[in-house]
Amino acid sequence: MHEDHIEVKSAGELDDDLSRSVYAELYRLAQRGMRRQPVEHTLQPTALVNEAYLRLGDRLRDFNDRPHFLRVAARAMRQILVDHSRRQAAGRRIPRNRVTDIDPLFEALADDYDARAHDLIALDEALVKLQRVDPRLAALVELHFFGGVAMSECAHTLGVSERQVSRWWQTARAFLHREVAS
Amino acid sequence: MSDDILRRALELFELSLQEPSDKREGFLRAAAGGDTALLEEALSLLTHAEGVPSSFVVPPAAPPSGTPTLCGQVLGDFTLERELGRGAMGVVYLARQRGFDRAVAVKILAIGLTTTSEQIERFHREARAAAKLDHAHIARVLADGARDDLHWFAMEFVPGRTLAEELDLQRRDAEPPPSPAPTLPLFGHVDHVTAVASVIADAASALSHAHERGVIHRDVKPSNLLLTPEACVKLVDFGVAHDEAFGSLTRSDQLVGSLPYMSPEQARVVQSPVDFRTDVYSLGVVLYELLTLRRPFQGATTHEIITKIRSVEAPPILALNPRVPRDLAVICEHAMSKRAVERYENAAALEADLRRFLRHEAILARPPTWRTRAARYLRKHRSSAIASAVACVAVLAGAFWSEHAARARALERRLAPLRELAQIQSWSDLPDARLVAARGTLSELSETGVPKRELDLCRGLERRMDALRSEWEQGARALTERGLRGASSGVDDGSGFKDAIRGVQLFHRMAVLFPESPCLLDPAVFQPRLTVSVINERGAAVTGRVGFRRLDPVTALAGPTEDVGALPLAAGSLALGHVRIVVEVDGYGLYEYSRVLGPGAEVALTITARDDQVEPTDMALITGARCAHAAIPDSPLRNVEYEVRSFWLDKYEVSIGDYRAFLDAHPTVAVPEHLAAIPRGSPEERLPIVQISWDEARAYAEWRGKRLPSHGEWMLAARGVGSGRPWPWLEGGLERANASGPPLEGTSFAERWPQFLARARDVRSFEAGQSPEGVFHLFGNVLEWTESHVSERSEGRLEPRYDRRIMCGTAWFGATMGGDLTSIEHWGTGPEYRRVTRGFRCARSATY
Repeated sequence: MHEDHIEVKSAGELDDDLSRSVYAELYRLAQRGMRRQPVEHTLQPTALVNEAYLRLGDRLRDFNDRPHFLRVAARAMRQILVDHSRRQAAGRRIPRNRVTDIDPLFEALADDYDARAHDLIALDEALVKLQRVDPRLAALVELHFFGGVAMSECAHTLGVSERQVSRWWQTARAFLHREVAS
Repeated sequence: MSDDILRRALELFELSLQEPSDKREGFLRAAAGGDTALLEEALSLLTHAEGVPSSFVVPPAAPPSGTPTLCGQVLGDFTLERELGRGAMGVVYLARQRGFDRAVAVKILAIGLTTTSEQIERFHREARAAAKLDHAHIARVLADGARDDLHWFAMEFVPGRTLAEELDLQRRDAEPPPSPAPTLPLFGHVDHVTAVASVIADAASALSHAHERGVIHRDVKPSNLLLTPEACVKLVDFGVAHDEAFGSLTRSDQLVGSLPYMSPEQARVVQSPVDFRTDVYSLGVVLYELLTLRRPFQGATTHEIITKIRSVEAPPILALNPRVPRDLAVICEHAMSKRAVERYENAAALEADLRRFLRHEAILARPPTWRTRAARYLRKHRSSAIASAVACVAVLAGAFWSEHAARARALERRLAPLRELAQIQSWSDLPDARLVAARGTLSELSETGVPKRELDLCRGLERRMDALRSEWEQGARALTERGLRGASSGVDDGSGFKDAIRGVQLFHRMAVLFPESPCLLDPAVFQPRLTVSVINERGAAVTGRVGFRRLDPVTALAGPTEDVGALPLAAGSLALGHVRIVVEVDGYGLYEYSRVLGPGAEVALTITARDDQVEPTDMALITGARCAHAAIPDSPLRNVEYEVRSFWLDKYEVSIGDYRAFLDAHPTVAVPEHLAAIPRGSPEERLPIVQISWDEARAYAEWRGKRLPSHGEWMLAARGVGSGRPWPWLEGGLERANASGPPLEGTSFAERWPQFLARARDVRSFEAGQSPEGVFHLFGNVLEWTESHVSERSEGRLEPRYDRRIMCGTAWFGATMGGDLTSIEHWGTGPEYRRVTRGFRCARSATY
């Protein structure tokens, strides 16, 4: 099986250069996207990730490996969105600082994600748990949900058949739903 | 619960998915083999799997998986094949029409629990509204129907993409080239702006068609404009259209339309009436976005955008994209005027101006006058409450991003042109667009906060801008004052004229670059003044009225007469630019004076109305008409339909004898040397006068109570209404015109003068070659001055050159050199320009 080389780090471990570049690029793209198409425009993770790939892919040799890139990008999206929700949940208790000032960029998207995840923070905690017991499923959720990567490309990225990835998906959803609903 | 149990439960659950859904519980019970903790865990997953909402952890981009696909369904004549896209109200399918076997698009209303009958009605209304329309740039509606809860209509399938998608591609960086490639030329490419203008002109013609049938679209935006791979645009989605026949279903307190493209009148809760000009506005915004790749009004919140749409001017197009020709920017800004009454009155007018632009004709829209600009400027700066709120957000955001590498690069991109500018010693010769862009950047930077280390750069540039403004102001005042002293003294020698033009040009540049300058607000600086007194030959004052017509700077076509006052006139007001002053003297007829007027020009006319000028003698009446001529490529009138009012044209070119009479009456005017050799009363006196400058020709014409003809008038006289009159008065051939002589030899006047004497003919000769209206020598003999300025192509459009005038006709060797009346010779020369082949004849308007 391929899961051997699917090494999944927790969200706090995104510390290599690649991740930082992707993270920065996504933020930049989101900011640019919002500047050009404000308000009614909803950022789409698929568009952001693909655009980031186009922009970074040729520049950094590391990214010639698209599956690897998608993993990193999806992870970065997850971190951006979940961090946003956490700060929102904390409300005004967190003093305004430079980082939170840019958050309106992701407000609409994070709200959308919140709605789709029932509760994004609870979902993130469930994902941490899932990572522990079945990293393949957690990776799939990250790719498809946070990275907006189509199911067929998820299958390719994770090195399994589409039928297989569909079963993983149903399993992961059942688990996550149970966790956030309880 | 241990992770291990969970891990195994997940595995079991995953395996169970290979079973049919009703067998899964049994499968789990059997597989758990008595491990109750495991079984409980696995069953709880199964329970939760059944209740997962359809959107749960589905990314926003993907369509909701709960909506069943309708592919394969048959609706009326149409078989649905695949989904093309989803909108707020429905899904669009690619379908095939039976019988025709053609691809069509079928739009299906998405019916949900919250769908109201009003929405269903609106959906079918879109179909009915669009079905009334049949236009090359509107997607045709083919059929409309409903089956149970399925409401649909079929329309023409348009391959390609929406303008919104096109804009997204255009916004990508050029390196690497975006894939797929944009349909229109890339932003920044030389053909980009004309392609954009052409697409918007087509869209305007589609709207105009809809407007004529009483349909207002009300939601014109890039995603409702489809672009085929051949760059043919099609308007779709009359979903919120207001059809006068059906009435509007939109509640008045509801904001309809897509926010960034919404007109100011739509963006009010208490709405002003929405009419055709609403669509004109929205299409203007689309044009703006295509030209600049930016939306004119941006903001972080709906409220902010609405506030801007209502009360803030959009950033000038030229500051965002200096490649946009000024006329196109003027058209766009005119379409986007805040007040509906200031816009084009309908889409047809917008289209017409865009077509004029594309044909390099003069457009009808005018840039805002200095008064309007000043008023807007003040308005803008008074609404500082909003501005400062925006600036606060921007400054805070700016602090964060200034540390960010990407932000630094973006800043550097904006600073680079400023650094270059700082290196340039003299700015006077730089293109205005570059200075306007720099000034825009400086003012943006001052709002968002200049990084400390760039403060010196920015302050230095601002100081130089201030210095440039005062330099220009002084220069413009000095030049116009000096120039107009000459220009208004009757016969100007040309140098004053040039100074005046340079002065006007400087003031124009100031209006573009420093619209807030106080000197531009000083009416005394600007308003040209006119004084006219007329006496008859017996020294008695006469009555009459004075007006002027504005002459289009490129085509020199005359506008309507604007009244100035009654005779005698002291200090009446004129317009700036090329104007024709018209004095109608009771009992004597018209006297006309064409002048180019700079700011503060003073024109004083002292006219002696002569009895022999009451009736036009030896002149032919040319009846006014709308006409179009295939003039040579650089003619501003090439293939343009234009209007010429009725006028009188001298039947004959002005002869040496005629000119000698003028010299006799004006002892102070120097007698050209070449005339000295021609004896009075000799046959040579009947040859056309040549070797005189344009100013001398004009002085003669005005002495005779006439003026020089315009290019358009001359063409109408020579060519008739259409382009199909190359030789109508020359049936039988070239022997009827003096145009087949040997080519001119030599370069000096001494060498050429004998050739003129040998080849030029009596101005009243070649009777058989006269035009149907009785005008002689329109083809052949000598070239003739007109009052029209030469235009030069500059960055793809025509710009007038005030120091050059167009010449019409051909000389005695015109046919030998391959000329005919479909290729009128068309030259311009400076005021000192004199040639042995250049003569003239005079004209006079038929009506005030």
